Amino acid sequence: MRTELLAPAGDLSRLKVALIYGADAVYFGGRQFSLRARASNFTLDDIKEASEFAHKLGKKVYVTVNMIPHNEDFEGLKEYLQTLNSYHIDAIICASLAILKLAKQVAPQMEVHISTQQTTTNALAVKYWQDNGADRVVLARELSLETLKLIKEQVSLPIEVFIHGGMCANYSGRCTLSNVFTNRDANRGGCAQSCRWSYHLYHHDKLIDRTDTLLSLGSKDLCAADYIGELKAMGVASLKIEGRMKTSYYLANVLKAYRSLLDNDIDEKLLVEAKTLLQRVSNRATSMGFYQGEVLRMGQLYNLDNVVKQNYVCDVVSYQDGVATVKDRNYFEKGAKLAVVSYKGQDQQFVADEIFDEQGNEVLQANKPMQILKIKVPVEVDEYCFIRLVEEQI
Amino acid sequence: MELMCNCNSIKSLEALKKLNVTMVLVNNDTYSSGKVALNESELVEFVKTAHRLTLKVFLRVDCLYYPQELGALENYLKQLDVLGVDGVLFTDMAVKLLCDRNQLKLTTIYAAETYLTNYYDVQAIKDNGINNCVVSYDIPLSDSYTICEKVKDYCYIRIAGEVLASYSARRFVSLYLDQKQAYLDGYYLKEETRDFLMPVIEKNRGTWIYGYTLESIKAIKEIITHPFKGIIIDNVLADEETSIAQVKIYHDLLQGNIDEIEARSQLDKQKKYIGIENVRKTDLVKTNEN
Repeated sequence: MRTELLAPAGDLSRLKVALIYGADAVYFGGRQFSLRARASNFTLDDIKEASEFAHKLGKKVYVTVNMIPHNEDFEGLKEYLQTLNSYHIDAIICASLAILKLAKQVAPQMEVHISTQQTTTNALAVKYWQDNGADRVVLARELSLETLKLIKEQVSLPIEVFIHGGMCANYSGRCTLSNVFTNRDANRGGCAQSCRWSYHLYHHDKLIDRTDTLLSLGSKDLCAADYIGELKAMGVASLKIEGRMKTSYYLANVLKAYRSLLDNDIDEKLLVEAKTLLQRVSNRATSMGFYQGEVLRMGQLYNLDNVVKQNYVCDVVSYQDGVATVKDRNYFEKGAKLAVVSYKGQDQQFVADEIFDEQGNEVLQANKPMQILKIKVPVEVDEYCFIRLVEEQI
Repeated sequence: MELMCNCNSIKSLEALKKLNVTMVLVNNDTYSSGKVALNESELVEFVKTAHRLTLKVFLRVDCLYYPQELGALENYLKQLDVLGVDGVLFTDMAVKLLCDRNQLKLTTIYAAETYLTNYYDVQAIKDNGINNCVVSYDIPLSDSYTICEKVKDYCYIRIAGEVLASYSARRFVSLYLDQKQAYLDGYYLKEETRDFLMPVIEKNRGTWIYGYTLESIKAIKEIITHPFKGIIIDNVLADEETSIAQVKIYHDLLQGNIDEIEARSQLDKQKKYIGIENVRKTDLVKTNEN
């Protein structure tokens, strides 16, 4: 069985980028019943278009219905599932036994995948979901490679694991820190990420903060590039990338990296190239999560030291006769060394010799986000390409 | 209606019996969240004494378990069955499957409370043969009533005690202090802009952080008119004496020995309490921070 590369999408344009850049399947949420309330999320029309777009490419779409529902959240759910079924959605991802059973009853053509929100950590728990009709289980993120192997040997149900992106500090689905502090429901899409806040530590009534940093529960992001070969060999059904809030540029780079690792025999050179791509778009420090076993101090994020990368400078809007019309995203200037990021192959470097605005005026500094500009590029590009600064200038 | 409360000492059993407790909830060193408590040899005498007093004994088997430990967990559950333990409070479906596979007589109470927020899910787990459940502590009382009206005599409701805010496989305190110990107790977190302390328990398998402490002084008389299977007073972090004192407050209130004002005055002043009637419907977006 070919291991699937599964990508997130916050909206239709990001979904298209994900599929073009090598995702075998994409997951996203509708306007209701999904976590990530602040992601753009898809209307029913978007979902239909997403399904058609993906299926034309021979790829799959999964819709997250993964909130932990309250009594009233079931209103309209049956009709919603039937609509998804009519759009030929390949699967829903859910975290509720009741939703699993309802989906099997009213939309039997759709697969049902059990969300990582259920924190499934062993083969018996997988069997429980299998006995209830689930078609796949997304395992908990708190599993070492060794533990994953044990589970994989004991189950017949396809399993999915996270390989990249943000990590919950606590077992997913079993954390109500956000609820306690802000009344925002972590399990219904309102997570305030309270785990990333700073905390004082007391032992009985004595304050025992370290002098260098306050305590945070926050985790470094996951990067499992080193484990792709073993996960592939193990026969894991699907490798999942986290990040429905991430940009198209982020998706393009992350997918290029993992697509390359999945499709080729992995050697040191390939791994370094992939990690370079991943590093380019990381906005938090990364670690191997639990793949290596227990998380150590270096897996924690104490200083909230987000790394804001500004190498992503333009979206390509269109292309004609060697000139790309682009939308500015970050600062760059005339003479900057840039590169085209494309799904067609390696990045092509060039120098921004001339930059013009829509009226044909020369622009020396591109410093107005979303401004439409025109620049000469050395290769044919399209709306799925991006322009970035070459690293040494950052 | 059953009254379950935490208990980790034989000496407490008689006092709890006199307070109309019907079920006691016991911790184990290896398989339970919360404080370290009874080991296997202590449990034998505990069960005998509890049963002599017609108290049912339930074990807290409420962690998430990994493949490497399922064999030992299976043996432990068989041992509980042999000892005559009445049931287990669990959060990992592996526990239920192990009980079924070995045809154990243990009553299974599903207490993965963050998931039990609606009556459809409660009905679904009942249909799966799970004996009982504990409804979520994170839904308004009106939602809990709706659930227990739809699935009668099935649900327990937590009415008092420390409420778990998070459970992690990471050892937050040890990692932060850079010093690893098998068991850490007596630690508290305080979010830097807030004024309340959150108790922390850390064991080899991870960290439990507790949020507010629940109380039901105003609501208890109303709660017991609804068709819950039972109510739970679970002061999981308290010592035995404090636990008994907390149960006595509700006992005396229901017996008419004290009024609400007196009951409230007897609560542990160190805790941040929330009345169960004040648990609000959670929001999906930022509205009003606590």
